[in-house]
Amino acid sequence: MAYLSMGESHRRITDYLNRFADAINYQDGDSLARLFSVSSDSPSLLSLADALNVFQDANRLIKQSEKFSQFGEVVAPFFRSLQCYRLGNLVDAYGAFEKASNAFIQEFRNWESGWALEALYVIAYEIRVLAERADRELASNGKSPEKLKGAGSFLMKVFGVLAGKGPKRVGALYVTCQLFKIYFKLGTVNLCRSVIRSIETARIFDFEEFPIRDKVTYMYYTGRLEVLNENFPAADQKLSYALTHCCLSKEANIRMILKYLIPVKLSIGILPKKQLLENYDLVEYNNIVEALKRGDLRLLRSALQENEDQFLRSGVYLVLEKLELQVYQRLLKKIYIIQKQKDPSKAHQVKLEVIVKALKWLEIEMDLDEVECIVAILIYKNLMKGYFAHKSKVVVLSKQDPFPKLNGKPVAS
Amino acid sequence: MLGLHTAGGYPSSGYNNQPTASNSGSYANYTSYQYPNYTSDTSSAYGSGSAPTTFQQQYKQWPEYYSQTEVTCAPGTEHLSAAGNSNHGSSLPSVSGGYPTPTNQPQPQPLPLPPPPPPPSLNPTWSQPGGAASGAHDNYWNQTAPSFQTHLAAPTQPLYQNSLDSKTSYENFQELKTAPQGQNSQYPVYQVSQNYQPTSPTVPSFDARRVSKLQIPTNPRIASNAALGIAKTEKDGSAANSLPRPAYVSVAVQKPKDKPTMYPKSLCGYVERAFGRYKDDDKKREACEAFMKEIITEAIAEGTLYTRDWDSMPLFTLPDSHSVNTNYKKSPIRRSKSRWEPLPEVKMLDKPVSASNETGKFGSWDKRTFNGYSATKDNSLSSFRFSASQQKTPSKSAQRPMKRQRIVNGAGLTNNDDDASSDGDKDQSLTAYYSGAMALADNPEEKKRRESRSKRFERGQGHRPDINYFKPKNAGPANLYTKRASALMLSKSFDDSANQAVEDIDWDALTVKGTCQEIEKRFLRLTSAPDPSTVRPEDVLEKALLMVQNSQKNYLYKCDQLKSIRQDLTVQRIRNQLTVKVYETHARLAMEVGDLAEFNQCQSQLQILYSEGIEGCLMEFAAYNLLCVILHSNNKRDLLTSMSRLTQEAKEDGAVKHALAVRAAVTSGNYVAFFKLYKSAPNLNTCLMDLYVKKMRYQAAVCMSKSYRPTVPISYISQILGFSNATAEGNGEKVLTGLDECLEWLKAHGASLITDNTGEMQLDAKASSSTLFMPEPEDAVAHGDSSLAVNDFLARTS
Repeated sequence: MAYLSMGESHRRITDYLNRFADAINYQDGDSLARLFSVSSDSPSLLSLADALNVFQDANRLIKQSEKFSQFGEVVAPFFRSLQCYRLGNLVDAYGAFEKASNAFIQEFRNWESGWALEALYVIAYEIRVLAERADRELASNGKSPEKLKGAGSFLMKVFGVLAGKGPKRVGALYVTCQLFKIYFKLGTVNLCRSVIRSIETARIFDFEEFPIRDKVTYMYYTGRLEVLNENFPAADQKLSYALTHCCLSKEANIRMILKYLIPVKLSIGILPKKQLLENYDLVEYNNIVEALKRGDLRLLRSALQENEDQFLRSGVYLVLEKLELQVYQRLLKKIYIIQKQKDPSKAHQVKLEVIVKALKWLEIEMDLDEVECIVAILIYKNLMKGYFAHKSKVVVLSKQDPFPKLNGKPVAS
Repeated sequence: MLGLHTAGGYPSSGYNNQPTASNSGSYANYTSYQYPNYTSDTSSAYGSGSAPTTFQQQYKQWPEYYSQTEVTCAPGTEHLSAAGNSNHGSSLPSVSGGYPTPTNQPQPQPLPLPPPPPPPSLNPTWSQPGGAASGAHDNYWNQTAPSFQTHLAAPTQPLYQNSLDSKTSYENFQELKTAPQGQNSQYPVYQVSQNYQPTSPTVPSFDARRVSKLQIPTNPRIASNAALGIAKTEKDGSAANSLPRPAYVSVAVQKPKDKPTMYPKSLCGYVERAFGRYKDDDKKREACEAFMKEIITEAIAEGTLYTRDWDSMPLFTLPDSHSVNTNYKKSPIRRSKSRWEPLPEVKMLDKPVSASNETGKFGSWDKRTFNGYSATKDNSLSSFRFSASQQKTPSKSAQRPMKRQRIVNGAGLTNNDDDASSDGDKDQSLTAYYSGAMALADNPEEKKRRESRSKRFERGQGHRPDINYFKPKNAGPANLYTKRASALMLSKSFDDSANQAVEDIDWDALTVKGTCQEIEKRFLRLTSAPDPSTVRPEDVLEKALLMVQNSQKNYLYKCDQLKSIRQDLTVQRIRNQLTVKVYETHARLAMEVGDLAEFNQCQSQLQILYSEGIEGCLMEFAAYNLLCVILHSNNKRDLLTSMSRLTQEAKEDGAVKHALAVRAAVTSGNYVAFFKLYKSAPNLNTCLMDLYVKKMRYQAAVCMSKSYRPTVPISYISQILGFSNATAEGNGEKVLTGLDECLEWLKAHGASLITDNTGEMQLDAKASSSTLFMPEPEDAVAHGDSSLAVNDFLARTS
């Protein structure tokens, strides 16, 4: 860092203060937002941070003038946060930033219009990002990371400020999404429920009024929650909404949505084109799709095992595992088709032995009882029409549409 | 003397109850002494200007008095026997007098009325107006905690101010510890009480007492002796003081030799270490003193003063010094309440004194209160509380030697003997408690043995407090209050210092080191900080665990025992392999009887313990955890996290593999696989699966009735659904075959059955598909939790 003169530092600090005061006086939300984005590493903020480190007594500058002192409660901790951030002390940077944010929220509460929403967004974002980094720092020092949790409760407070009636409510969804991010990261997704309830049940929120980016994010997260609940139709609806509204240029976001949408679609019987998987680098689903097409149980199992960790982490493992029944269905259908080719009159009677043999070819050892059980389940879950005759150990298939398609409906439970 | 009496009377129940105690007089003095202090605090809090001045006055006076006492105490003047006793005798009546005149209380009144006979030095302070007084008052505050010591210290110090300096007081304290016993101790209390003299002028002894005091100042004797004397029990001192009063001579048997106040060397070391840390912070040192005293008092009360391993005892950490003060602030309020309570019966006093002295060595404070309680039923609880809290106050701590305890205990024993019914009660309640548990092994012999055992606990053991656990009826309240009061010191200090964040609390300071040697202990949810005398140290806990493991008794008993073991481990913060073993044992037992709630508690603790790297049956319990999540909570997210946490090594483990296979069977509804796994389950996996069997069978029946046509043979169902060998080991009376059982089960669930032409029972699948239902669980109870119905529960567990 080049030598920074006292005068230059002074100039930078007062410059910042002036811009801050102007932004507030002219109600310029965008400019104000830029002044808050600590983690953006924008050149102006970095140089300000250097200046602060040279000119230690910035607080005096703030207090000196009437113009600045009214923002003292916001700016002073913000300066400290910026300083700490520049010095790599993220825990303190977070602490100071939360203090500044708190003071800002107090002010924000009193402003009638929502002109400062942009700035609030930046604060909500910064507080989450700083908390995450602070937690990483804490964890690396062997301390318990707790800042993100704190950021969660702070944002909950912000949500309370926005959730009322009035022009500021459009900001609520952004804060909600930041909260989702925090809760998913912390693994406390059950906390999402209260926020969702106030978004979805409150009359004052008309969902379509929210900014589109927030709507997409919101739908993505709620869709993921539905995946966890194995409520596939709802998950399909939400994730599809997110996909169709997502800006096409945001490929990473589209990929994230597809990561959950594809398993959901698979479990309601809709297979993706191979091209889609390749376009968005979702090749881990390739073999699963292939297994579903071929009725290849072995392939499904190996695909699951291969990517077990990844699927477990993203939370789709259990969903994918349930595809097994569809694979059995496909296998039986194949047997049925082959039998039909051989002898159409006896095609609807499938001997249990045949199925066992087919599985054996797939190197899957199952005894008669187990296969019988699988068949019974397939019939019970309406993946197969017909009945099983225990005495003769034969599956008797319905002559009409023996293997009904799911057609967008989930497998009966 | 007046003051003394009143004050002594105030602490009251305890005092009165110790009729026997020739020694107890001294004890009373202690309390009396403190009492005024407390009250003064309250009054000051109310802003009465005069109050502070009086305190100051008190302080000023003390040095004088001390010097006096020294004089009287002068070596060689020991009057061990008669005089001392007389003092004792006199004190008793005065107690009763004290009660009616509650004026000792902080109210400013008493002071103005008759100015206490102030030594000349006092005058300046005396004249100070209220404003000035407040400063003094502050001083006073700081001092209150270590007040006892300051008193002790005072004699050695020429100036009272010196004694304030905690450093010096510390030294004094040490001195005190090492002090030879032979000295007559003047108890500073007397002086204190003097201030209050005006309040109860009716007391007869007053004049005499005063005279003696006045005499004292004339003696220019030396402080050093006095310090030593203090270490002594006051009784002797009082005797010496009371020289002029012949009237009371010769009342009780005295045993001067018993007053030992030798502190173990290790304790001295401990104290030194404790103080050493706060060399440069006066306030802290004061607080430290208070803490020290508390600790020592406790040790004395438990009788562990000499047994405790002081060398290895962790040093406590102080909370804010001001918080210590607040403790003291609280107490006067409580006290003032109890003051108005009816006087405990004096009857007790008439009991044979001699008997008391000889009995048990380990008498404990708890016991005393307890006795007091049972003896005078009308005694209010609050008074107990009071006495208990007093116990905690520093003044008592250092000096009360074994003697007092002994007396106390003696009183307790006599009381017990008189009151035979109380023993009976205890036994009854004990047996009542376990009687339910003894459903199986409940023959008269067993009962007798148990009774005798429990009696053994009561009589033979030195540790009284433990016994209290077994005496819910009588001991309960008293013990509870004592404990609560004793806990008050700790808990309050933390509550009050609101500025102290939870994470800043040094839990080490609060960790208890148990002293209880009892192997068996009932679980009792703590409502306050634990009492070390009821907490078992690790080696005893190990034995207790073995005992439970080898016990033939039923689950209810074992669960209770294990919970108490867990509690003891927790309060002592023992987290090692023993802890893991205890939790594992409990988890397994709970699983065997299907006590999921308890199992989950253990399981979650075990997860934490394992994650701390403590060895145990990690795999086994990982499997249980998986099964639990799969079968009983059905929370997908939990399942995912538990699965993703499994290491590769874990996935290779047999038990875990089995659990994962069970999971797969359950999610796919594969009942055949499920019951196969059920039969081949390792460890106690079966127990957890047991709880899911009903559900799985029902699902299977529904599935089969829908997919099979026309019929399914019962024999097949019974084999598939794991009925076959379920009752193979019946004891020959009525052997239900798997088939019969399956039949009954199907009938109970509304299946329609037919017999085919070969005579084999068949499930009519089509008919059944619409009639199957899940019957209401037979053990359902009105309040919703069948495990709360003890009889059902016992039937299941036994």
